Amino acid sequence: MEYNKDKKEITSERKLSELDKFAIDFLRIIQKHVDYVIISGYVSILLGRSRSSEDIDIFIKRLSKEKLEKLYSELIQNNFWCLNSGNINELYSYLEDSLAIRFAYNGEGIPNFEVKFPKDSIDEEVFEDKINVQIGKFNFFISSLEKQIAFKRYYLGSDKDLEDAKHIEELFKKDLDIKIIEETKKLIEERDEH
Amino acid sequence: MNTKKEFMEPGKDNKEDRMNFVEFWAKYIQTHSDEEWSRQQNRLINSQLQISRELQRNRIN
Repeated sequence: MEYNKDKKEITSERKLSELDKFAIDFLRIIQKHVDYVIISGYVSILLGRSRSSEDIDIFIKRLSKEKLEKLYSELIQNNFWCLNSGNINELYSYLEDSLAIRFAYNGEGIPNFEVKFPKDSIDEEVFEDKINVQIGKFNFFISSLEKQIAFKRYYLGSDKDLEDAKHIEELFKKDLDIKIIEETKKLIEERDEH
Repeated sequence: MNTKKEFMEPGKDNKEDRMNFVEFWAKYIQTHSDEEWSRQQNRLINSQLQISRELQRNRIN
């Protein structure tokens, strides 16, 4: 696995798991309609962490209800279903209320994608410094390594999250910008205070 | 592929032991081919998904 910090690109020749294949099936459709960034646990799994997950969290950029409807239709046509509702007005209102909507293969519950809009400027910034993880012919977009570490360590904070943060830190320590981790920590603390 | 064995220090408690393992595994990834570590990781991911799906099916039935 190679990380080119300047190009914001990680290349890996890893074999794909069932979870990766599910992710690719879903993201192939998503990326035709809207920008996305993978956040949280699947980022560390994609980068080799020795654990699994039943869901994959992503932010999508805010989009109109009409665009969401097109995206939703294509997902349905390609053997996905939404676990929260089949009504586009309801789904859009969930997203607008900063709630996540989940998608899985039709009739299944696991694994699933948890899709949400960024709720504030800190969330929105993940699109600015996202990293391209190239595995085979597919490009996954993940949030920056520094932000992953900061969110896992200073916002989420469970044992699992602390281990995810350490995994990323150990793997890429030569390339990490500690200043960004500290700045993100400060922003998280300020957000928590409000 | 690097076949030299690196050893891991046991932790004083479960939390420290898990952290030591995270460190050990990160080093393993750095010193072994993507194919080798992902083969092991996929065994874990695929089996967990399979078990979760079976549990879900059993709950429905």
